[in-house]
Amino acid sequence: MTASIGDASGRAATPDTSTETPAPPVAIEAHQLGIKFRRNRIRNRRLSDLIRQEKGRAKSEFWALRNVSFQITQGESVGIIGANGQGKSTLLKLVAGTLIPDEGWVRLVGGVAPLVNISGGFKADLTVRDNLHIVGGLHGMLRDEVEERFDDIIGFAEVGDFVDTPFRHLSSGMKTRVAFSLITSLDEPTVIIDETLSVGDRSFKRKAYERLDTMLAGGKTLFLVSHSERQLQRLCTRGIYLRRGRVQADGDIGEVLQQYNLDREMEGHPGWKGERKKARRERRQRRREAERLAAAGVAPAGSADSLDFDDEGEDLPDGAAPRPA
Amino acid sequence: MARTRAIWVNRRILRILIVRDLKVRYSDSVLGFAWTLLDPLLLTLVYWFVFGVIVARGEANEQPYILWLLTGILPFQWTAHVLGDSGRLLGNDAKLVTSSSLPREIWVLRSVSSRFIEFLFTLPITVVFVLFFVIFPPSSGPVGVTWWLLILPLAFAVQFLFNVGLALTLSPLCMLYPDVHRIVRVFTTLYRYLSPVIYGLGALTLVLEENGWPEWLLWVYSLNPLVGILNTYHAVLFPDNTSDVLALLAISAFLSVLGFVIGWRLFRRLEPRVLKEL
Repeated sequence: MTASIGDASGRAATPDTSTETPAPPVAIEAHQLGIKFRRNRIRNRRLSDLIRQEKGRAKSEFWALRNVSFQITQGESVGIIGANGQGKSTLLKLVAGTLIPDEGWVRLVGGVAPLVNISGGFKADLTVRDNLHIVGGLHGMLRDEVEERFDDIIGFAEVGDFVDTPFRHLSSGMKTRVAFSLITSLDEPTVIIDETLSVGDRSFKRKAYERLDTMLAGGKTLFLVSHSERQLQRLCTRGIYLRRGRVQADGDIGEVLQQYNLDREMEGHPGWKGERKKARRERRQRRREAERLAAAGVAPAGSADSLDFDDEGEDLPDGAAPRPA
Repeated sequence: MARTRAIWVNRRILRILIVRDLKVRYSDSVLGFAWTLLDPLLLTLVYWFVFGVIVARGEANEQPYILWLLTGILPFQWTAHVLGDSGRLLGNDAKLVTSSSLPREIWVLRSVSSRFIEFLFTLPITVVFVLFFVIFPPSSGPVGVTWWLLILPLAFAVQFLFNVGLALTLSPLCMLYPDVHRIVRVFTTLYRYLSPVIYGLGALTLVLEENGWPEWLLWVYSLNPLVGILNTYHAVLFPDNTSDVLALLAISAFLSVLGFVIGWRLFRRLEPRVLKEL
């Protein structure tokens, strides 16, 4: 495993697994993982392509990920780092099992609680109660388990009055709160988080963070894709840096982030400083909009701005005064 | 084999999905469950009006014609719905499919199973009509249920397998080649007339004799798995229609198993590519 990381990066930091117990229990293991995509949207139209699958299409394909190997032990929290389009989300999908690799394999011990696309399984026409039973069931919860945790899930999501309301009548913030509350109630040993996850308003974000912290403290394995340096440093101990579909570095989160930043500067990217400023500006605008609506008497009920765990998530637990809504 | 086990392990989830399908289908409309009955009933009445009254077809052994239609249309609708679903059963619920790592065959089984349950729900229509004709015997002779009723579960099983094979083959193809979806839609309409839904094998034999066509054409016709299946359903209420029921059903069973095996292999082969498209 160490060798493969060395191959891929050439200058990888020492994987911290070597410093741990001799045979730590593995949570996620990837071996020479590779997946390729078609570059153009035009699919092969001819039926003959179906029969001769591999011929004459090489030029239109590219490897989104290749030779990706790593081993994550139980209880580790790992952040996947990389610029846009370097294979982060693809890796996440491969780990979650929603994509099938073209090369190599990935192995998960136990199930996952995927905080990806969380409200995807919810059906708009059914009530919150029905949805919780069904989606909980889809993720492997037994009927009794859902019953047992039902009040907790509803309470955490703060939708007590809407238990028998059709899901589509909830505000988008409520929807994500219900979904987040349910998925984080799963007993799976591994939690996978995508940066595009959205969980509602500021006060709920703080609760969401607290819950993630509790889960981490409880020994769960965390697999996180993010752009946010602060969030990565806060939640993760180890970083895997993906560049052009390969593992560029794998090791202590601080060191890996440093290397990533160095690379970005050297490549002359605008850097995420600018992106973050832009994001902050947009967020401020959205908040003002929400306040304006609230002042006008329209209940915003939590805008579904993404959990861009940026500075905000960092500041909140330190006791930033919640904004008057 | 590992795959079969994975599907079996998740059978509880399959049940949840089927219940969800049924709930979604009836949760919002005023008539709710009544649509399950109304839909095929109205369809049958239209066919009865066109082919029973206006064209006034119907051989002596297909009377009362409305019962003949019901025993053909209701099961055919099961396959027709599965064909209709197959184009979007992976795409429509793409979010659901990509939010879990369940064996993807589950989504196929879910469509076929929930359509099967819907089909079972429509069977009371036939029962009501049979009772009506038992109480008020039609001029064409008394109506009764034959012993072929006992073989009905076998016909269900064969049709289930046939439908699963169809959906396994078509659902990934429809995702990768949008043209296939259109072809399937057109084909479903044609298929209704190519299968013994509004006419029976008896009528077909007569046509062959009248025109002096060779008899082996009938066997070519029987290579459509639905022929043996629908013929069995017809035999339950039409005792004159019982020739070759078992032989034809055996052909259907063989072809359905073949289709299932081919479909599953194709599905497994195309699965990685389909997931990339979702």
